[in-house]
Amino acid sequence: MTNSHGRWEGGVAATALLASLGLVSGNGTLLLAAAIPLVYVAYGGASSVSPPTDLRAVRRIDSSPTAPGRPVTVELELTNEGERPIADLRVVDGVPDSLAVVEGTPRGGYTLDPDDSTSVAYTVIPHRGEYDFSAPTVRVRGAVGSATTTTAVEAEGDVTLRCALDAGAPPLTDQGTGLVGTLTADTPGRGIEFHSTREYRHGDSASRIDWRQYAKRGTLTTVNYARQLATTVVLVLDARESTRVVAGPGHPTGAELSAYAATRALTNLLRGGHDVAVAVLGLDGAGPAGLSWLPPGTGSEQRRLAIDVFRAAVDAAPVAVGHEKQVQKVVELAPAGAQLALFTPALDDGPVTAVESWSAFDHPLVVCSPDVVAANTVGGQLDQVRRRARLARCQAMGARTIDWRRGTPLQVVLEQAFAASARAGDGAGTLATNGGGH
Amino acid sequence: MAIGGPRLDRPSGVGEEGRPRSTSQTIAAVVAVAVCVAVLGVLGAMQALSFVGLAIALFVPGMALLTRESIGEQVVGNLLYHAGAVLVVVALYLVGRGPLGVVVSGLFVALFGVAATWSNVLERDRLEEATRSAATSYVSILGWVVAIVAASALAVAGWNVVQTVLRASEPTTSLFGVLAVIVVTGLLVRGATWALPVGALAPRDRRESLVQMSTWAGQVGSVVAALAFFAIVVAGALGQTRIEAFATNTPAVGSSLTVLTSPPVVVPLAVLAAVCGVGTAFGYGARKLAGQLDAGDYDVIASVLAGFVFAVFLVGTVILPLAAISPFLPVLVGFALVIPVVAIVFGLLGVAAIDGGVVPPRAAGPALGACGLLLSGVGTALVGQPAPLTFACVAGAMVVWDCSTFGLGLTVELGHRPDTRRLELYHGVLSVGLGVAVVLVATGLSHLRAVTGGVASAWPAVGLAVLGAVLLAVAARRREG
Repeated sequence: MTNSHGRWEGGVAATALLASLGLVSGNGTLLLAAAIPLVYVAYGGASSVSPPTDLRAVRRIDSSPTAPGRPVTVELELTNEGERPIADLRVVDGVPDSLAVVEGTPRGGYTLDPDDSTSVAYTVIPHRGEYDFSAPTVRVRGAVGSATTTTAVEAEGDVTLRCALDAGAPPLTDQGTGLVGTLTADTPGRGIEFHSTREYRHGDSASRIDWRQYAKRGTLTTVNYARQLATTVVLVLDARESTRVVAGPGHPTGAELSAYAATRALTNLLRGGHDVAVAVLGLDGAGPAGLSWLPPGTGSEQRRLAIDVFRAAVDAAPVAVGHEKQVQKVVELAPAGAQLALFTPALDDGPVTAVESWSAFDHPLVVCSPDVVAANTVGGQLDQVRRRARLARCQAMGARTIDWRRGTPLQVVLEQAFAASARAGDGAGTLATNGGGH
Repeated sequence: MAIGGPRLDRPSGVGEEGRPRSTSQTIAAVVAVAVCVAVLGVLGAMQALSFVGLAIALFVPGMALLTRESIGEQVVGNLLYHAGAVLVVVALYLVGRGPLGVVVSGLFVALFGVAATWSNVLERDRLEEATRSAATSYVSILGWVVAIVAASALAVAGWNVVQTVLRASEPTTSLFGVLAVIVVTGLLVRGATWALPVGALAPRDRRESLVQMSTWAGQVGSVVAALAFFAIVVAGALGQTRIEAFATNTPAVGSSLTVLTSPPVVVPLAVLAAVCGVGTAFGYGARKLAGQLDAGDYDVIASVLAGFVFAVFLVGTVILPLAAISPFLPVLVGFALVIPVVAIVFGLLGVAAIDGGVVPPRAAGPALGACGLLLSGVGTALVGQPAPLTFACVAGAMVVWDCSTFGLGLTVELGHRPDTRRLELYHGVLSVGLGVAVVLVATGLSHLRAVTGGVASAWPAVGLAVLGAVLLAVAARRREG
């Protein structure tokens, strides 16, 4: 579409004014000066422009699929493959409406010589879903800027950005590690990691004798290995109304980030051979007391079912259900000795109430809290203080609390949450041992 | 980042129209200033540039600051606006007279247009907001001038009373004088303790004691004033003869009156009365102002504060010294107080012009800049200045309009974030180059005309040819559209 913009009506008026004054006053200078605006008017009127058929656009999205809340850089490269320069090129990339640009801009204005390239780079923060980029809109103007043509240029390269809860958490392989679990207990037993040595007793396996010690000192000692345990972990997702807030425009909600953390934890635990159950607070599910409940299980099928539960929880609208009833139902359904891991942004006292209820029972507790509070305002700072006070109260009640702050890799957070908790307290009392060996 | 010049507007996100992109605006500003310097240099009137520049440098930032939110910025904006408005009108009066008046006035309008474009003060809503704030502060200035002059007159009158008391030789005059001073002082102390928020201003650990002390002082002031007033009534009933006889026959009474009317007693009382009077006035005024305004009426508060500052300056440095020279000179100052009204009226006219479509709503600044240079070009031609000056002014007007509107278009389409410096420089160089070429050609033709001499009769034909070309161009563009 080619348009001609009337920027020079004033020039016509100026010409008329100068010519009239020159005629009336008999001033030749004014008559000559009247030609000057006319030159600009004529140059603008003679300006022409053709559609940019030799313009090539390539879009690159630096990571797709990506996790919710992770910044993604999009770069649109434009190359003039023609033989004529493009004097005035303006471009706007087709960013989907639901994606918020948090850094940079998808717009640009350039002058491109033949074979010259330029690029537009910007950063977006997606939440769960698929985002299709439309073709960039390009406007070319003539040298004097009066005539323009606007068209869409199909971009090669990436056109879709996918954001999923299980991004960065590859599916389980069919063959596991062969171990029952990878959580270690304080008491020694059969395993592969060295724990301690003791005096040889009749009946100990020859493969466990420390022959090097025998060669040095002539005494027989038996090696103890760190006992590998399998546990049952109940991942509890807080999907109540209070968690459906965002840290900024276009950012994922607290419920979505919690679901993402729970998905990563689910994958890690299932890969380690543990049994994992899933519960969702704040929805009207099919389980008892409206709880969305997936019984303990293991394997790829369990992972698929659990991720479906998390997705449904993120997409569903929260319901005003009895929070205390659902919390109580979680501990009733959880197997004895199972670890309860609550994923919540802790924006109200609901998680504190839950931890308080659960701490009365013999379950190791973990609270993993993604930080969705914008602390760049006075109100945000107050909310942040309140949130940390809630986490401190949970910790005081015996829960292992992990504050997942922005910028901290989630893997580090999950390792902290689940690796150390098995070492806390008496391993025999708090962990379910499935026995077995490697 | 702008190539040069401050930013007084607040562009935000993508697509806000605001001011043109900074590179284009810089090119337009450089061309406008260069033409101004060239014209004034040839005319030998460079001193006008500094005067006009100062006036614009005060007035335009004042307009820009009037649209800000904080009280401090608005107070400064009001002060700059009114000081700048006075300078602008005076500058136009001084430099706009005489045969070169059209030229210099045109340059002034051009510089104003460029400055206004840079700070985006001619955007319709901002112009209205600035004009409204200026009108409010102008009313405040007038009010404060009257109040300060009245307070000064009151102070002078009070001081005359104190002097009379101090110089009084008759016992009656001394008695009534000192009692009057005591009554006024007592009442003003009572007023000050009522009006001033002592409790709110005092440190928390001393609040209770200070409030008690303030209450006690107020009560003492009331009692003392009442007693002194009673004494005046009694003395009035006794009459002058009895009082003088009593004072003469009782040496103790006479010496007491002498002590009471001595400077160590009267002067501190007078000073206390003056301080309490000022405190009462300010406390009462502040309380009324705070009680009647909502939290968001910062512009009214800023107008009142700026009006006070301006009025103090005006009264202290202009009106009172002039009054000491001649009582008629302050009247002239009164006329000077009318000058800001001119600027306010022009502001209102500007809003009406934008609403009526006379001035392009987004390009009011560039339009003013171009029209100013055009006016200067006409002026230079009419007063017989060298033709290249006229051509430079007209070409400069075209370049200012072209670059400014190109930058405005960039702002509308791309916002302020993308870096479009290369694009703007490319367009600016083209535009300036075209202007220079046209000026050279026109200068050549003008020289040719001067050489060929008496073909003046051909110029009407040339003029008609130009007008015909204009009509053809208009018709051709309409057909395209």
